[in-house]
Amino acid sequence: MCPRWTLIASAAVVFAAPAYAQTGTSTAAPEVVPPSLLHQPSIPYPPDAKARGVEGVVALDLVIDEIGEVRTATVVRGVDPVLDAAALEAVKEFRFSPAMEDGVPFEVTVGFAYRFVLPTEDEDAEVVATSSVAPPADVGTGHSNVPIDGIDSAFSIVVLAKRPPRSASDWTFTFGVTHAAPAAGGSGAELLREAPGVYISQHSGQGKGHQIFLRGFDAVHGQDVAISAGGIAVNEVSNVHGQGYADLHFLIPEAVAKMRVVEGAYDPRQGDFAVAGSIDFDLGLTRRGMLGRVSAGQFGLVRGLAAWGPEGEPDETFVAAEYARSDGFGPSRAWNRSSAIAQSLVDINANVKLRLLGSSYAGRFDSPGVVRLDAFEAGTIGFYDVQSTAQRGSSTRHQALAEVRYDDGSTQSRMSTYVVLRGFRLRQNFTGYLLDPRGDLNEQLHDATTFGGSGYYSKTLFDERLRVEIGASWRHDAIEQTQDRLREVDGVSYAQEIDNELEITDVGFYADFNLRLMDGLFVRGGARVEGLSYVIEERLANEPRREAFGLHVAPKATVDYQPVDALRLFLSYGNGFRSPQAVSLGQGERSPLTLVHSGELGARYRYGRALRATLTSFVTYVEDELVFDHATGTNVFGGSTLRGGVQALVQSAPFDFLNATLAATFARGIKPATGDVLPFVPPLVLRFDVEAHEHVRGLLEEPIGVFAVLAGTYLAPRPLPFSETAEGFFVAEAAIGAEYDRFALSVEAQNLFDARYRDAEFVYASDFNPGGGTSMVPARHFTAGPPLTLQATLTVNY
Amino acid sequence: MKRIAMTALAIAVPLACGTDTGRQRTTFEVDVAGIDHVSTNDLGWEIALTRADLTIGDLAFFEGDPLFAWSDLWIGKAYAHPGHYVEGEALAELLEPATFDLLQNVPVLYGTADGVTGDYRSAEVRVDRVVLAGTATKDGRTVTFEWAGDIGTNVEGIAFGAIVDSPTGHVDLRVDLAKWFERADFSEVEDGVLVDESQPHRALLRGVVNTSGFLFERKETP
Repeated sequence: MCPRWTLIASAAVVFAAPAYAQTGTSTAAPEVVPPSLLHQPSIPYPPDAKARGVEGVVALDLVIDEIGEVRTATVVRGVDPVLDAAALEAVKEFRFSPAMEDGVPFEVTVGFAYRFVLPTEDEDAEVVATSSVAPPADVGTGHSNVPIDGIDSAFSIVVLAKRPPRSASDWTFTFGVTHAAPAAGGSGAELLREAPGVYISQHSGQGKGHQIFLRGFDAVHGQDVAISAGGIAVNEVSNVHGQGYADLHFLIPEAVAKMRVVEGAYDPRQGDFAVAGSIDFDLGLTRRGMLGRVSAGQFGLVRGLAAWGPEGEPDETFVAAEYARSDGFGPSRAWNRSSAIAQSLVDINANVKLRLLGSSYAGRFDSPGVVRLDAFEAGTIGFYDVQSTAQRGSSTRHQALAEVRYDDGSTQSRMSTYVVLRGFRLRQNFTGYLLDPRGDLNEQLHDATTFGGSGYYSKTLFDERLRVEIGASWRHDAIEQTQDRLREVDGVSYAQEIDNELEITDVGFYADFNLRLMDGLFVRGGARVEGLSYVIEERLANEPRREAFGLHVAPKATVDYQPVDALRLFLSYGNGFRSPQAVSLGQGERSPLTLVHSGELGARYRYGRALRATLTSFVTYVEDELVFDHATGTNVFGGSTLRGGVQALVQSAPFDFLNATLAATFARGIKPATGDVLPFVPPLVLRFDVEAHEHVRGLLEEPIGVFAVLAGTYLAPRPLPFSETAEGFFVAEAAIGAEYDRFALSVEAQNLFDARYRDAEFVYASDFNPGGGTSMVPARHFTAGPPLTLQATLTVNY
Repeated sequence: MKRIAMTALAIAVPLACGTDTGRQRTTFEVDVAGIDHVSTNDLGWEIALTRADLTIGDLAFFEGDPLFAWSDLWIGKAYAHPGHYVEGEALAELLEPATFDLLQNVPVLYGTADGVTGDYRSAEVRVDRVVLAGTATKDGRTVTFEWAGDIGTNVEGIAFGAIVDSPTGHVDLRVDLAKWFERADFSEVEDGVLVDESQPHRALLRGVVNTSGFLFERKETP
């Protein structure tokens, strides 16, 4: 048994009553009731067709007799003998209610379409997300209707197989089964918690980009994880606060349909920042109709969501808007945000679709900053207190994308272009009065306009043994950025440290192939060539503009062997890179890049729905870490580093009402030259998600749906500088609720057991005493994780 | 061969234990003593001290190289947190104020410095107060003087080269009293009083904050 596909749509779409059903001489038109599909068996995606990468639409005529059985089936337009035969075999088992005319059943011929699709995701790795923190709304049940273009059919069925994965650690998470609202008003950024091995912390207020840890990397604000949403790059090149800064607060969690996580650098589509891996969000609203959702909870939390997915349109067509605010769980933690996303998938003709996306986001937040551990232990400051009250920030993001998709069954291509307008303001003081008696309050401003896009052309060749894809991505960023020192007492600037104008262009090309050497044995690979151009003007330096250029060639390869249906083995190698901060580059300099070699050995096992498991061992070697020093404006080579680990992901759905996922990632990083352990990275990240959903019969006419979600993250003690260790912790989230008809009521809890934990820890010198006299030796600082936060949510779907 | 070794190392990475990130917290004792109680300065005055008290506010050690301009370059740059950088990383410190009789013939324990292991390159001493008494003799003329000065100055960028990587060791601070008097001219001193803004007064103010007057040496304890 090898169910490497998913039947995603099964409902009748449109019934075009046959002409002969309307014959008759009566002055009153006879009442004609079309047949409706009562039963359809699941069929496997034919392995041979999948292996050859064959997909397309099989159009059939079905003769449905008076008792609703398929008497004959004829292929009207085939796509491949194997797929044609599979469709013919499947429809014989279908059961319909017969067509009726004035209550009398009659035989009827209807058009029918089976579409076999090989999309980009790998279903073997597909994990149904169950967390309470960021699921989309899904009140009630039902299937998506996916019309088949250009086929005159009464019914359409889509059989979705998946394009093979790039490595064992290539997962796609779908969001569409849970019913609760995001806990504590969380944004789409919280979805990252569901990616195996990922831990995110929020050290500066609900609105600043999260700090991301993955596979032994402290990716800071995104420098080592390439992130995109809706096909638009999220990482910001040369952001004044940090390279690759990624702020995902614009994402509305209910509007995220899928999250693809590729850990490692094994896919030629991965470009800049894909050092530890890449994460891509697909936008969509898995529930059709109007959706309203209101949450209210502790600490002044209010969140409202309105969304609409037009009936009959694909999930990718929707509009969603949210507003959320909170006073925060302690001083200097208030935040507001508002976001709207609209996306439409338009059929141009049978083979061409147009996707249009637009979104706008604005948020502001107060930031508590850090607490010195020694001050907390001495009792001079509370766990949730603030050492500098002048910290805050704001963020805006406006973006639009247009994408053309072409698919004729054997050839696929996509071409997209987008524009992003970004604004970012941040005031932070992590060092108190260490640098200046007026205070070290630091204001960073970053405005960027990004034009970008991507495209590819994919085709099967040589008797369908080889699939080739040629693609490209590009972006141009025009950036204005400043950094000032402000007086702590009144926020007046007393020194300007940065005033830059940057123009950065990144153009990447790739070639990818998927070669079937023999049954069950595939070789995938390719290469990516990336060119990066920089124009730098540092106004404060009073120097001429500088230009620099960087080039990177990255080979990738994967061997995929499937000895038996249930087991797949992977061996992958990939080369990746991270670009430097622009201001670190000199005139005419060939841009130095942080180069990465990544290898992975993994296995996937699948036993129906009951068990899916992945076990991988990975290694990442960074040739020479480049650390940008803001103070000197240069990149500092930090020597080579080596990371390795083991990762396991187990998903089980033993019963229809239960879905559970457990992910464990053990990672270590060292400096090969000294053997020293890399600090800050959690050696063990455990994550579990359990969701139960059942309909129960009560006194009411309709059954009541009840659901419960429990998710938890355990972070093992992390190594810190000076061979110290940060405390490990366990944080749980939960939701429970019930739904009836079009309504759902739920209660969500963040930090269910009210654990007091240090979300992030840092070690550096600070002096929060304006008069001086405090220690200047590097000290431990922490940011407090949120306490138990309860909220109630009402959801209406109509 | 290198690749094989690297692969073996890579496989061993997940099995590595411990949390040794390369440096540790450490403590070490600091003792203080004066030297050159009797000296002849650059202007020919032979200085013989009868009292030399030094009050230190605090003491810190840094990784910054002292050879550059004191004001902003000698302190090394430390990576504190993404987007937030601290100029200069203090490696150890002793924050207790203390007064020392620099004329004692044996070193006096100042205290125990708390710090971290690393490459120590400079030190900083806060000089709060100095009390001096003695005689200055030149060409047969002897001037007996007393002077007490509230200094209140951080003496930054004092050279101190040491790799501190073990918990067994201590640091000697030797105060070279000759450096304090190096440019003092007692010709116009009357009644032993160093008048404010007079030449010897200014010379002493400069002398006691002269980085070369403070000599640090790390000694490992056998």
